[in-house]
Amino acid sequence: MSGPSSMRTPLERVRGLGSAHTGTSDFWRQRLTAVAMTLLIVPVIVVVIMLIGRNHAGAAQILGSIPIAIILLLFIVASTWHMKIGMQVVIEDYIHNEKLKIASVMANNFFCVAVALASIYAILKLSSGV
Amino acid sequence: MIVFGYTWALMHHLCSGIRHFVWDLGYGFKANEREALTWGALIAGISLTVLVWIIAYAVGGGR
Repeated sequence: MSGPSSMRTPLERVRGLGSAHTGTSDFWRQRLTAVAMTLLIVPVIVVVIMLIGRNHAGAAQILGSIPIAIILLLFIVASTWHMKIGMQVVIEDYIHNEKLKIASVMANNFFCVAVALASIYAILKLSSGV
Repeated sequence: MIVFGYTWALMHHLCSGIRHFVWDLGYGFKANEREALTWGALIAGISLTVLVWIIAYAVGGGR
């Protein structure tokens, strides 16, 4: 890394860095998914209330609607992504042991992808009436 | 009971997130504004949680 006598400008030195070494992409995606969920939360709550007390056939019928399924799928993608970034930031900030940090970030990734895929699978299964 | 608490956690997170949108847009940095936004997020989160549950019982309670 460049020392204090380097000719590189301060901006050039921080470019692409930060604790995750990925610059501001996580910052941007965290806000992107947050705005997405702020817009989606009202229709999602309406759908969840529609589903209260329904049996399997009733739930499959409601989720068989394409816009309803798409709204829930969008919310799942936004929320699991948001959750993955949020937890990763906490891990990177508070776990100082490098190996434990990498293992935790990895486990966090596995968990969030598993939650996302399980949720998407459930929505697709119900919305295709199975 | 657990789902009620989880609803509150989500609603509080939503309202605090909107508070952060306000800050991201460059507003609300004065001391009294920060206080008001934080209290507002807390109260709005509780209110939304209660409202959602009232609507849920009114609409879905009989099913």
